[in-house]
Amino acid sequence: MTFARLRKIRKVVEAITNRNKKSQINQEPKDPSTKFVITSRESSALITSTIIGAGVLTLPRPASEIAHQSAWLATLCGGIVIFFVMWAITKLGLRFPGKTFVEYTGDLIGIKRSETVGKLVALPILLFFILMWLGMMVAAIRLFGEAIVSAVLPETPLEVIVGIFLLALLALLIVELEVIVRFNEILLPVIILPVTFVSVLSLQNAELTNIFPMFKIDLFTFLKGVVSQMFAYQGFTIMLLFMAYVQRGKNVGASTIGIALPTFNYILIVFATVAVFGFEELQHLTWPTLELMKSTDFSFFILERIESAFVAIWVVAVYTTAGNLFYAVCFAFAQILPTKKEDTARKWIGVCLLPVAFWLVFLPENVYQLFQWSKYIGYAGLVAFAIPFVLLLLAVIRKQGKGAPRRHEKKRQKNHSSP
Amino acid sequence: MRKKGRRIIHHLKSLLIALGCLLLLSGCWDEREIEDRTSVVAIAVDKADDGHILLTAQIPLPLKIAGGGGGTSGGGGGGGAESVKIINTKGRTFEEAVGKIQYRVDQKLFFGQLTVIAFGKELAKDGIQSTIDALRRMRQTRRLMYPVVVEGKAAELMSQTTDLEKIPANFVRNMIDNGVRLGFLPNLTLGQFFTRLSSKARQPAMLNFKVDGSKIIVTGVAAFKGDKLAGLLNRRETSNLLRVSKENSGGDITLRVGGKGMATFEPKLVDTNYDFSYEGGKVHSRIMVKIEGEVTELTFPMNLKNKKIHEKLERTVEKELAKQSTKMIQELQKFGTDIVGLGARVRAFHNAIWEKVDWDKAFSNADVEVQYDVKIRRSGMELKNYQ
Repeated sequence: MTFARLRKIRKVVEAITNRNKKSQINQEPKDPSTKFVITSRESSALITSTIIGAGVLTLPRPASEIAHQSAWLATLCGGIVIFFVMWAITKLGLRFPGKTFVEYTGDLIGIKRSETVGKLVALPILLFFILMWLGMMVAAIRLFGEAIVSAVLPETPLEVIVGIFLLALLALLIVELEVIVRFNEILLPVIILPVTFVSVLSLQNAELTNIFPMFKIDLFTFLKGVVSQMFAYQGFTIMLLFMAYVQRGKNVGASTIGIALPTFNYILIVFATVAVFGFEELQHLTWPTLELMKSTDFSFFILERIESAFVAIWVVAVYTTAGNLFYAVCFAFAQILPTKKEDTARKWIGVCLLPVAFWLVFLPENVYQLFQWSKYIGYAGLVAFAIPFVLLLLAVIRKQGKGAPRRHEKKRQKNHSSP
Repeated sequence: MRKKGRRIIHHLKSLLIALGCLLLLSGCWDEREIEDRTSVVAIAVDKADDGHILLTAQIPLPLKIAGGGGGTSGGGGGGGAESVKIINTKGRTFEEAVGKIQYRVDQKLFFGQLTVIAFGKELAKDGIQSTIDALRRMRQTRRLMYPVVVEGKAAELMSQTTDLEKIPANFVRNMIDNGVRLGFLPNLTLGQFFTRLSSKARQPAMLNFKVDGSKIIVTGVAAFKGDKLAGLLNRRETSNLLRVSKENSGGDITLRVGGKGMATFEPKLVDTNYDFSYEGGKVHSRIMVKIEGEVTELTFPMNLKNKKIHEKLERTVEKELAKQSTKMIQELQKFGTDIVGLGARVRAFHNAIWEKVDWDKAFSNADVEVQYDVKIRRSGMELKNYQ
């Protein structure tokens, strides 16, 4: 009796697992170039950990510089705008499953008769993105290096910190994309929790008078604040590349979570710093987030001075940001090059780019110039946010890559390339 | 042959990785053992006769602190004077004077343990901007340390030793910590000072100390206007300041009740509410303080069980406190500095008024009314005293 029953249950379980397996297999794109699928959770983690990086150390200052007491609202609105950009990128990715932005932009822009024309026209756009990612990575590394030197390790030369960091990036570059996304997924709590922890605890020093009046600011100034907040969310544009491998079906949800997590984290830290310091004091602080930790009593938490520990943990957050960006740069470069061995090409490009990156890191002469140049990269980012919308519009108008089932896609490709 | 070549490459790779790991063993670039640094725990800044800055640093001597208690049985208690080293330097700026300390100690100076920074009254009156700037830029200072003003020379606070604590700086810090916890001192940290200094809505303040012979006494609060000392509040005014600014209970209150005798009341701050209006070019402000607490002493027979008598005592306390608080506010208006935080509240919750006035001037002319609502909840372990 019981045995029979057990067997029956087992059969049912097997049937279910088989079904799951089957459905997974079905979801996998059959294109031979994509060897694996990024699960929706991994893709959320990838977006989140790329966005959250060295910017958190300075974020509250630009946030409150324009929007004053309503800084956290500006951060929230910035996040919402970013969500729409992310939505465009996701929809684009859905239209071209298994193809990265490098591969489909040429088709989208070019004419039907010749592929080379499309590729040539697309090249400046691709290069723009690649340079922007490189710039963002370099800015993140320099910013973090400056924070370490000025707050924790004053005697260590910046060159050593940056050099070691770049070498460590190389280690990330030799592995495959699959490993990168898993790496991001594993480290997600290390990135999310410290900021949450610090912000919530520091609220014990918060003063209500610092965050009111909340809606006094006029609309135009507020919008300017929102734009400056959008700078802080850069980096998620690498999903133009990696959306190709994300599990079908849950993309929009995963992207939403990927944007929502950093937004939530940013709001927390901005709200906490403004509530504790007030917007006027914030303008005096080079590293507001570190200063927040200095002014909060953590003595119940064994470590009385937590800022060194935070910077030590924060290496991870900056590493994932810079690592993902660097990977995206080399990945895109390798795809642009007319070579079949993309993996090898990526590694060599990475090795060649390292000295360039090192040189770029030391290009800003001082902290002020660094902040100024980060702002310029932010403006470049604004342009970059418009591009996915344009591409999506083009795709809709020219009825390319409808995001239909794969068979359809293949037929279209065949028609295209057979003559 | 090919296999052999591969193996050699493999060995070379392992060797390279092993050598690379060797680099990691060298440790931290900035490593500095605790015995390789000289901790400064307190700094006093005074004005020298020639306008320069006179700096007094307090450096604890670990050996003396550890050995002082058990080593000499006779004079063990009196070892306080030797447990810290006092170093005086002079300089045109704060940092220059700090730099000169380094010439007189054998290890690198460390300011991470700095807990108290004392300003002489003379210097505070002239303004402490340069010192504040240096402290802001300093990497090691914490925002949770205490800045204080010392009547007379701040250096006296550094050299004054007490039997209660081996390190005078710790004594001062514990004194403030516990004062805040017990409710009679405001929590005025360096971070608070920075924040208020940059805010237009609230002026900074520090605790005020006095060194009298061998005694270290808290005498109240020093109100600043910008970076300059504007005036001093005594202890009674300080406790009223605490209640009016919704920070703390302000500690015990002893007052005369009618013609009969004295009563001591231990309050607990419940709530403070603010109401602002703008009429006739003047800001009108009403502050409602709600406190409750218990009677800790009565020097005359009084039946608190009787509702009428009970309420009469409450009204007496209310009246007295309202009088004291109003006087304290008037004193601040005379100094022209709003350390209560009325401006911050106007800006946050009555922004229309804030836009109309220049708070620096408006505060001095404001019409401030303080009202108390006192509830006597209990009267200690004694229900009824001897009639």
